Amino acid sequence: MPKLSRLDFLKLTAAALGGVALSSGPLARALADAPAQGQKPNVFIFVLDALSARHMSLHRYSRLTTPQLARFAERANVYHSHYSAGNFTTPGTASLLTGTYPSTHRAFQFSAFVQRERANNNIFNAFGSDYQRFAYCQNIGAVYLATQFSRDIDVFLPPETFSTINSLIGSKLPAADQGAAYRAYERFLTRIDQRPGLLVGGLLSRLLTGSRLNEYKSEEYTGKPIPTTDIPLYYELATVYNGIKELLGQVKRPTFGYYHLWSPHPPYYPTVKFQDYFRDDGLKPLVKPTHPGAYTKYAQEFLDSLRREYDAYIANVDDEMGKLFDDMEEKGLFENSYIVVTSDHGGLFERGEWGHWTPLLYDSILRVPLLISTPGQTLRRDVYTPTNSVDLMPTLLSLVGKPIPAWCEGRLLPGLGGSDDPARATFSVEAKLNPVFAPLKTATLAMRKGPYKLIRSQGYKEFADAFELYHLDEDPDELTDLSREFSSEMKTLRDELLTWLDEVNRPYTR
Amino acid sequence: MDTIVRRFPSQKELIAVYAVIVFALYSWMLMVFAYDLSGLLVFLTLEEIVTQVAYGFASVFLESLFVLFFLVFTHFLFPSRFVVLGVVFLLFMFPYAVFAIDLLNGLQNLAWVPWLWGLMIFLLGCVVFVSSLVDRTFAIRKFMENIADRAIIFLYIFLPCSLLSIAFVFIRWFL
Repeated sequence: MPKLSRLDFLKLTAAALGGVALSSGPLARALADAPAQGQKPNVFIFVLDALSARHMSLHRYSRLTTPQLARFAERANVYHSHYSAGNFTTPGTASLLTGTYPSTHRAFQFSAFVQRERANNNIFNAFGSDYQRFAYCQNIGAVYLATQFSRDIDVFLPPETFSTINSLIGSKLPAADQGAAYRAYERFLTRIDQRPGLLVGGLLSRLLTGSRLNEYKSEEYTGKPIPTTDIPLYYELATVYNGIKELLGQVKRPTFGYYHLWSPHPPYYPTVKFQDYFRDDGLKPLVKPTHPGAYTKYAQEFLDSLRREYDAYIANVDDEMGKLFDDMEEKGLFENSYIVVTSDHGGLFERGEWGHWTPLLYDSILRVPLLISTPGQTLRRDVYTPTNSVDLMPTLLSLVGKPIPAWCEGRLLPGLGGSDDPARATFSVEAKLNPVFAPLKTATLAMRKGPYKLIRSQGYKEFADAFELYHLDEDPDELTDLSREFSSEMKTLRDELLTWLDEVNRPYTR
Repeated sequence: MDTIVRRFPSQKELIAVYAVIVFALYSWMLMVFAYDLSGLLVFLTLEEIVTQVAYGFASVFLESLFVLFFLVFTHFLFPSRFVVLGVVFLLFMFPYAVFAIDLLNGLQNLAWVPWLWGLMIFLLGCVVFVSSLVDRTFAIRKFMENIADRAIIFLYIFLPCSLLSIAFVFIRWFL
């Protein structure tokens, strides 16, 4: 299967940006060599980075943030208690793409890879070469993982595809070493978030990119910046979504497409239409006590203002998703595709903590949307059983008739081949301070089982080791910690979590 | 043609100035890398860390050549002792670069970008002016030439690392 060369990518970008029909472009040529189509359905996964289920009106949030996703939900399976296995992009995405928990794939830190010997254990490989496997990731953390799996990806669009301004270098270098090139340039030599390794190169990159940004004018973002990621990549949201629509119009069945889209990840830069969307709407979020482990320790008023900006950005993204769904319907993709909308993690605006760079694992950061529309589905199905992002891979493989690898730790989702199992425990892990090659000692673990959520924090200097237990059916805001009641449930859950921890640590314990 | 040849620095001058450039740029890169290293050790393999350093050495080498060519070009326009020009250039531009990089961290403060371009041009003018003054001051000129001569040792240390790194990166790309 021909890979996309650098020259091909440049032509593709020009075509997408200029709106030139791709019918004669390199993507179409690559896809023209796609294997025989048969009746296999397409599978499209849209990951909306940092979208918290708790901030979606679809899931009863009081702000009308996701009416379009609610419209999509009317013809989809909706998982109301779906949890990411990690609390930021790298572990969350790695779990989604490998069907394993962070304790197994070991991608704990930002820009990490999964365990090198497990690089073939990924969803692209599992789908096999009879599918056209496609990946487009705007988040550099997801890009690193995708480069690690690149042997199993037929079309890998660089993150700056559909961008308006960028100064990325990694994608311009030979594909054979792209993961290392991205890490070397975008996270070290020409990075913008810390001092770069290249004094002159880093300076000129900042000055030139800054000049281009100063000159760029957009009616959609009048007086405000255009969206950006944590690498020098700037885009207009509509341009990205229009580009995806063009790509979807060119795919030949069967296709497995993974689209990891940056927005609504911070910084929150919605268009002019959405910038004041929820200003003065009177929403007063619940005030929760500041957690000693919170990194930012922001005042509640500031958190509320950030929450409002985030919610407005979600509404902007939701609007674009609605247009995308309309376009997909026109193309007939709802009839022959599994369409998945999910996220890699959420975000916190509580307990003094903002965002998702945190040791905390409360629901706002872990509970993410999962909506799956099956081919021809017209009715909604709601599932309230707790599920985890490790479940997506085996479910999708099962749906398209592929074998589920033995190393996969997820189960089939209820309603799509699986069943409700109140005795099942799922796990989320935060361990960015813990060495990858060592047992989990500095970590926060969350176990979700039935109505309960048990959180274990250990090894942090800022706060003492602790358990927290919440009954989420009765206490969805996680205000009443039941762990000190020494109930039998607490003991059983604690023992189960600690047993699991011992098992996952065993290979790293000498 | 004679003018161009006359204005071209001698080999000895080129080496001395290049040594100072190499010392400044490679030291910066290694300092930044050292700052990152403790974090990288937590999750990268040794091979991946070495690869990152190799890209660093390869890229800084190209960066150093760029700066050298820029100085040679400046020397054509404003002839003075090349060694003095090189040392004064680094004395002015190194702090400016660090200041500008910190000010534009995260690509915030974009309103400062035009001012920073202007400041750069102003400082380059200062470099030329100060170089011509130093050129006439024997003691300072001699001091700068001594610094440049002592920096030559870094060429023997860093350039082989860069050449090895370039080979390493090419192998990773094409083999």
